[in-house]
Amino acid sequence: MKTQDLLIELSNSYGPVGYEDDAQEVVKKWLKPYVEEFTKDPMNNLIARSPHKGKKKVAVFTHLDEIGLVITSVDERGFARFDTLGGIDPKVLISQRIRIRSKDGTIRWGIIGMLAPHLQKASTRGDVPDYDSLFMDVSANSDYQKIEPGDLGLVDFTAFGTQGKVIGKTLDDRACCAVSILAAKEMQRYSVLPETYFVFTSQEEDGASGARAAAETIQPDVGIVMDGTLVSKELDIELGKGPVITSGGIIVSKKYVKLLENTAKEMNTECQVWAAPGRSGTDADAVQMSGKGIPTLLLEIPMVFMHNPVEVVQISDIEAASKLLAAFLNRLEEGAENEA
Amino acid sequence: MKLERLKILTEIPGISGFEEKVSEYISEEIKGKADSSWIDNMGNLIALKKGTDGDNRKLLLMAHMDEVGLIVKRINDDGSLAFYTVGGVDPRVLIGKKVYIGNDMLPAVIGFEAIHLQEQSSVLKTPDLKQLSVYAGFSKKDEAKKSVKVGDPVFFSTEYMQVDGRAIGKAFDDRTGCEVLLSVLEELCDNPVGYDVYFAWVVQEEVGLRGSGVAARQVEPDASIIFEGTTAGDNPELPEPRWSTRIGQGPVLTYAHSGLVLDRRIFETILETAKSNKIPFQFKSRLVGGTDAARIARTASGFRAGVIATPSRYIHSPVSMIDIKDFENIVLLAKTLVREGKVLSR
Repeated sequence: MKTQDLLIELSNSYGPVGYEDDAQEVVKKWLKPYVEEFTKDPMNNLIARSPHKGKKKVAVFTHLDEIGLVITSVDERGFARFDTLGGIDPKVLISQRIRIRSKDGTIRWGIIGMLAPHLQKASTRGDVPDYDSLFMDVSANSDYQKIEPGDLGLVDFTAFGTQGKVIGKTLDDRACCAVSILAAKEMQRYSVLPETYFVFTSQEEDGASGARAAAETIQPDVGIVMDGTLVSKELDIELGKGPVITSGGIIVSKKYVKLLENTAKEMNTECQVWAAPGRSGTDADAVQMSGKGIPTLLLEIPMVFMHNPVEVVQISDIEAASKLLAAFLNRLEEGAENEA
Repeated sequence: MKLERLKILTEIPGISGFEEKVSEYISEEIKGKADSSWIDNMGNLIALKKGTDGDNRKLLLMAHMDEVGLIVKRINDDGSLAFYTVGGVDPRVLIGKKVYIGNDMLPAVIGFEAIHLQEQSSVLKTPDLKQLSVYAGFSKKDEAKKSVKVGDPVFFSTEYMQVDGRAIGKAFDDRTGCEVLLSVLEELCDNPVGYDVYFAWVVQEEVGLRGSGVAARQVEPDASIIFEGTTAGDNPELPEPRWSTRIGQGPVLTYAHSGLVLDRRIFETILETAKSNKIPFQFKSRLVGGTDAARIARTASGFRAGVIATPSRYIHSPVSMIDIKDFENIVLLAKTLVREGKVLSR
């Protein structure tokens, strides 16, 4: 399996918050050879169980949902108004072509337009329109009257690879979904492995209600959450320098952070570190507090232009993370066997 | 008129000063159709369809090949590319887009710092162009320098798409005009006229009407018609009385625009022709924006011209929209005007 192709297909697939079903099919297609069973829970999480029967039970969480737009009204001339599902900067939406999917599956097209410079007033040039004034022009569709409140829209962007990177929408968090899929394959190298569940969570971008439910259902001994994080000069986090291990004592289990760091050392995997000062803004926040409390790890993939339709990830970071994750699962189970 | 050709024309990368791929394509299309053609010192493509009866009057039809875009101004230490805009491009339409760099079409994007990191007070502020850069995946200046250089053009990447009766894409300003000229030339192959018809696909319109003057000087036409893409403005930001034009309401006729009151006789001839042939039309009701008519009026002793435009929403951005019926009616009006030849009468 080619990592670039996997990333591109995941990026292009459709899965706005709460409507992750299409993207689930893409995950299933790639992951099927390496797992025993897929289930879906009431929150629309997709859960894949690996064939291993270890002493430890581990759940790996990556979120499959993506930020998107929801139509709230359409006027008689074919101008729709919309709201966002998840945090979207209005600046990234202007002059985008939007793929609108209605409840019956029909695809229609919209443009988030803006008055051409010729007609703009000098007094408004400095302002970015907010969601009170942004509109979506759906008038091209001869049946635009059939577009209804609740229909969903995504920026029409096709991912591509260049310079060892993949650029596209929703690599937050599909890049980490790819890490899970690659890790499942990588696990074939090991014979000692825990009972492992790969959870492709729903609704992370809007309150993390998916991961919480799945953690309750599975009740793992260890929860590993993977998500996208921002490349940042301030935090000294770069592309191509490996996955980012969350450190500190708030969201994550110190014991398992140490094991993860030791595994990275043994594997010669270059990693970066982030110190969580509180909430992480990922599924890890909910997973840790599920059930009776779950020892949790947060492993992140650095990305540029997060929550833009042009998120950038480095393929080598994703491959390194998948190898690290598989090795970690092996060390974790080996440790459990030695304890026994 | 061929919509497949309009699709191809709009997708060709060709910002001002880098129109070669557009002129190459049009040169191929006019082969065997024009009696002669040449590319002049500035890059304008000019073609002649000779009249059949020695009538030595000359009509010039003109459209511009260039589109707005960006040009690389500096390669930054982090491998990203600082740019100038070429033509009127609002910084607000650039974010979150894929672009192509240079003639080899290196793919790249323009992104913006994640909303999580922005100061609340700046989220709704238009970014300065200096805050934006083109990102092609390079992490260092030296790495970028192997593939990119200062002066490389940067093009929008939008693919043409037809949605029911409308088309969505880039560069309708003015590849629609380019296609109008091709359609008229083909019509003349089937139904020739007595007088000479010249066609000029010109360069550098978007950066100050720079190509058209020298083209007109080479032709010295008795009359000209400029085919343009013009801004619609019939979207929610403006009250209806301030819309410039509206899509779906027919060809846009222009009596005056920035820098020029158009030749009254040509304007009235166009208007009468539309009326008598029952071709729908509308007037441009704002005077903003200029066309090459203003340049050729200031060339030599002054060449008189009319302007007919395809109304388009959201021009000068990566995604604009036209009504295909409007465009078909412009082609019809153009063919009718050339067949009747009344714009040449004084």
